[in-house]
Amino acid sequence: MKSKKTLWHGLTSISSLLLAVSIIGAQAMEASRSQLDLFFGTTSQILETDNDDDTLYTAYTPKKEFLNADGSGNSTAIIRGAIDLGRRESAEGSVLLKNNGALPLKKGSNVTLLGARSATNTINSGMGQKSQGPYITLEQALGDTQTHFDTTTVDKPIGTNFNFSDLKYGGNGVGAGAGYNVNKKVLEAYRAINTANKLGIQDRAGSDFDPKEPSLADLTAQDSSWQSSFASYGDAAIVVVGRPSGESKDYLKGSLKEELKNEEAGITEPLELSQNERDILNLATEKFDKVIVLVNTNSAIEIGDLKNNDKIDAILWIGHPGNYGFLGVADILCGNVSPSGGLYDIYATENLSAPAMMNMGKYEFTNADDLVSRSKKSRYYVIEAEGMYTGYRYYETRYYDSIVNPSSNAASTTGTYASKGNWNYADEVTYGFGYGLTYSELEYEIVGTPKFDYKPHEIYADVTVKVTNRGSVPTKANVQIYGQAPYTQYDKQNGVEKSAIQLLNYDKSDEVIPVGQSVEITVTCDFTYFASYDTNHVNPDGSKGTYIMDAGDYYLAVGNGAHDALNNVLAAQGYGEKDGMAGSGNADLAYKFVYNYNIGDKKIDDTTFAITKNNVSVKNWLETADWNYFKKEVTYLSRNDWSGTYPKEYTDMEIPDNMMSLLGGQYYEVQQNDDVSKFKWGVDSGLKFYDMVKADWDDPRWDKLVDQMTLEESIILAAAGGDALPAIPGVGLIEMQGTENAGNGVVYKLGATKTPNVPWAISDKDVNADWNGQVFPSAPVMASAFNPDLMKELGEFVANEALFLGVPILWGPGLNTHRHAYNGRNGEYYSEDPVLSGVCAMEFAIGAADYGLIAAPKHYAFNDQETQRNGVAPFLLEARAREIELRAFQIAMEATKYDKITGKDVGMLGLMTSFSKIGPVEVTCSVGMMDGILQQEWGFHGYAVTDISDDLDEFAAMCHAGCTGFDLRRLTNINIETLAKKLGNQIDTGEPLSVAHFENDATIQADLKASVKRTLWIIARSNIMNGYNSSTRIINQMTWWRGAYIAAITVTSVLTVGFAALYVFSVIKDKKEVA
Amino acid sequence: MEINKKDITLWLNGLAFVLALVATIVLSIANNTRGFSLVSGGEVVAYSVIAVVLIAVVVAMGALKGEQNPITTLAGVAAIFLMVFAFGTAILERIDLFGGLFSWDNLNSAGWGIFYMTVAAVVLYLASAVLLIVSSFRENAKA
Repeated sequence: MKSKKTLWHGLTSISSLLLAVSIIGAQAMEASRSQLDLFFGTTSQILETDNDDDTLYTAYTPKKEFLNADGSGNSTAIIRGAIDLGRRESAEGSVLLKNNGALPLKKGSNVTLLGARSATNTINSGMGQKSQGPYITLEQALGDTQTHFDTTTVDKPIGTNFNFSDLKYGGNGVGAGAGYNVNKKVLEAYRAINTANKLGIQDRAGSDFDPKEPSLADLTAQDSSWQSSFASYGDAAIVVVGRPSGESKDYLKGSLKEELKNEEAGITEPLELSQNERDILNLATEKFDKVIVLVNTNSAIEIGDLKNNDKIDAILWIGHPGNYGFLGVADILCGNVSPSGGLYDIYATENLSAPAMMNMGKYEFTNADDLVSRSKKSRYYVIEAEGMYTGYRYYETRYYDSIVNPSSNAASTTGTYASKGNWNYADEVTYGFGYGLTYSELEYEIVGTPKFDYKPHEIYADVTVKVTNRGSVPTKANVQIYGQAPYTQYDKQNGVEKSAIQLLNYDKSDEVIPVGQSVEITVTCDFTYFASYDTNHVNPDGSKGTYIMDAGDYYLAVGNGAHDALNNVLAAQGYGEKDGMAGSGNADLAYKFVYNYNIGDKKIDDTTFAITKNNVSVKNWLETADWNYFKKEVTYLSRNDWSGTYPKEYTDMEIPDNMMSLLGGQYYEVQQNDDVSKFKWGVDSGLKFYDMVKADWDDPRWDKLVDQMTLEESIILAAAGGDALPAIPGVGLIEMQGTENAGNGVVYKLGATKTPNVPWAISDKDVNADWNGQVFPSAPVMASAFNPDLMKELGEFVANEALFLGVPILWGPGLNTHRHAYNGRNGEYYSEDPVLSGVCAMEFAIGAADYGLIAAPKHYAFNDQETQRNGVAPFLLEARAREIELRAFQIAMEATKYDKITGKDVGMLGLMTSFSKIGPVEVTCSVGMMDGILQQEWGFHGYAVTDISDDLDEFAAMCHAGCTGFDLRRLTNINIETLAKKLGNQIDTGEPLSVAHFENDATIQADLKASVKRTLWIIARSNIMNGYNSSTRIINQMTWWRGAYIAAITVTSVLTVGFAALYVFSVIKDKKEVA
Repeated sequence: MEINKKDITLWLNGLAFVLALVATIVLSIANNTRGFSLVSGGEVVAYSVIAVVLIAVVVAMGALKGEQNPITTLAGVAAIFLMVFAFGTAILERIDLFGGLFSWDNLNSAGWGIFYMTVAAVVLYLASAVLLIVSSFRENAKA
């Protein structure tokens, strides 16, 4: 008989392989348990209590409207609320740019949708701020009297747990559309072509960009009779032009796909209308009496030709509306709602005319090989030579100077693109920042004189504006207050730059204003965000740099956007159309006042804003951000000499010797001989995390709780945060899961709660358990609403989503300012303006905090381009950094509005740092950014986390820890155990860096203590605290996937041993037979 | 030249040895890329080197004694287990890096280099394991 030992041998081999795979798989699952729990709806850890006393589930509770009578969660109410809010955001955030009376278009009209994007709408970003789950298309929103919530969905088919049947209402219900009859034939042709072209609803920008707009011939080839359908749907053509946006890719100069370029027609840029887009627009104007254009983009498309084309009747900018925003767009088109938004960015005639465009893209140091760094992330730079003049600040200031000082070179030919001859605002700009129309006529009036409130280190001006509806349609109205500071001889001599106009604050009417009636809206302007930064000012203590206000004439002006406000200032200064003004001004809408506060015999007030609201003296912290700090090679744009300082492109820059070590990340040397005896680690004082619920920052018990943690536990908490914050059982801290996006919802399924014990938890068996909360519009739509209350409502809503899911931290919203239109990630950030951006983020975060969600605005700071974003070194002036990008964060972090309302320091609890550098230094490791400005000047003591993990960040941050205020973040808790052994790779040697390295470094140990305190402090203010009372314990749970891998390991182990035994038995048997 | 069953088994095991050796070298290079060295690099090297040695034992004993015995069987089974553990451990530690390459970190050229080398090592290890499994199903020359 043939021996079976080879069979057993082979089977033993196979089972051993499977055993190894099972064990490795088990490790992978455990490392990703937090993500798996959310994906599968399982629970690996719970908080268990012995008594359900009154303290449980009371720290934060959802809004009553999302609960059933018995206190359980009502998923249908949540979804209905999301639809309603998304709809209102789009209705208020869409911006009417042009209307010759074609809009509103009456219900029952027969309309034809044209353009590839009319059939495949862009609803959100291709990466980053995405949408999830079912969404409403433009066709559905326009075409139905009730919309279908279950026919279109993002990425995947609708599962069994979407049941929106009771959300379908006719008439004016939550899903009511515009009620138009939509031409299906044309849409079907587009859909077929779009499918073949792989046109998506959430694409990204990119080099070699193709908008994938079919030619007329393509459409005819698809359906030879497509145009014949126009006759039946000829009341109006609604043409959609759009561009995607998304994380990681920019539009680049001249990057329109090569085959699509038309050099003769000057079509070379990705944000220009392509020839095919122009053709379909021309066809629309030929075939239809009414042509309405929807601009479906967050990146400023060049639409000057549409503005100037009389046959284009209306232009409505709609951004990326998210899952339900097209209902709001339909509300505007059919007249349910009058538009009331203002543009989030200036729309230039040609985007290349922005001086920032002279330097964007990929620039590599010529001597990058000399750098000692890893992964080539420090080889790239960008010189932001436009200085202070980004966005409208450039166009409006140059315009102002060309009017007020015609002999200056503001009107020279330098930097002209669309102008015929000398630089001319009307030619260079299509639509200004903040501009927007309503269906009515609004009359603005500044009521009385602004009320000033002068304090030692703060100044506020309350400006009350009366808005009267003089038209025939009820409408909401936004009120934008702008300021102009004088550009003085002192400024010119000391290199201080001033925008001729800047947004100071804004608000919106709470309700629609009935025809013929008025409302008064008071807007508080905080001069902290009006002051200029004087880098060269010598402070009393010998340091340099502070905020100043020049003595002189100032103006507060109201206007329909920045340009209108500036024209009102010009009118108040006696200028008119005869002086070459683009548009007219109204002197009554500008208030002039003379600033002489704290001036004395000086030319400037250098004391009022020299001390921050956190009572700290201001000084330069970012001098190394300026290339000229190392080597004087860069000229920054100055309004003192527009022509002579207009930026050139800085290519082939060589790293100066004195920059090399900073660029290589060699910031700090770990000390081995410090006296660390004062630090206590692992000293049990009997405190538990529950004891610290909402405890004050100054509560001395925090120090005791922090001392309870070992050095290793502290490092784990500091270094392994992020999507999942690790559990620290020693202090009773449960593992927590955050959520990533830019503030448009929580990116998890409603039924995948991490807190199944709370009374309102939505079960994974709920009819809507698969609904995903990431549904709201892109950030520019939210900003364009110019409605702080709506932003707060969004923050509250998203926090309620998080409360149902047990998610305590949101890595968002996006708060970088738009440096130029080509940043592929502009859809994730609100605006080019710091005040508009900062107020949006502040309102969102305050609304979120009210329901226990810690919002962490990102990316602090200077995510000015996606190209080489992982470590690109942007060089810029400190004044520019402080007055634009950082001002947005400052407004959010200081949250002064709510300090005043509550009477206490509110502040932000979270922040995410940028991938990029500030000058040659990683932002995460910049003492100035993380400590001097963030913590000292602004008083931030929340959780400042790095963007994902970057070993350069990791190394340097760990070695620079608390003096930079870092809290590290990794994607998961993978390698938590090994992290304690090695925290990163040393840049110079590549050798592991272990806990042992920190055992004798006093600076790092102090920093770790501070970091841990910050982290614990913010967690104690999150919805996680709902599950804690004095008897709370952390209990590990069995999950089905854990059971599966245990079974797999068990079975493969048994098989391996069994087959091996059989093999041995066969061998023995064979030997016996041979014997 | 006629190749008998013993020769084929030897060839299979010999090839498995070569593949495992090459995989170990490739994985070691990936694991020691400047600035990206593995925390668990020592363990991975230990697993893979032991696996290669064990396969060498299988080959040597097969060549010398002409038959598989409990020692070679144990060595082969352990080698398979250790090879999977070697690349599995490396991948576990690289998940952050590899995940980033397919999303936010897609311009990390050094990272892509590690990714491709790791994939190559995994393929080689698996091929080696498959060869060992195939050879283990074969009767030895004297059977």
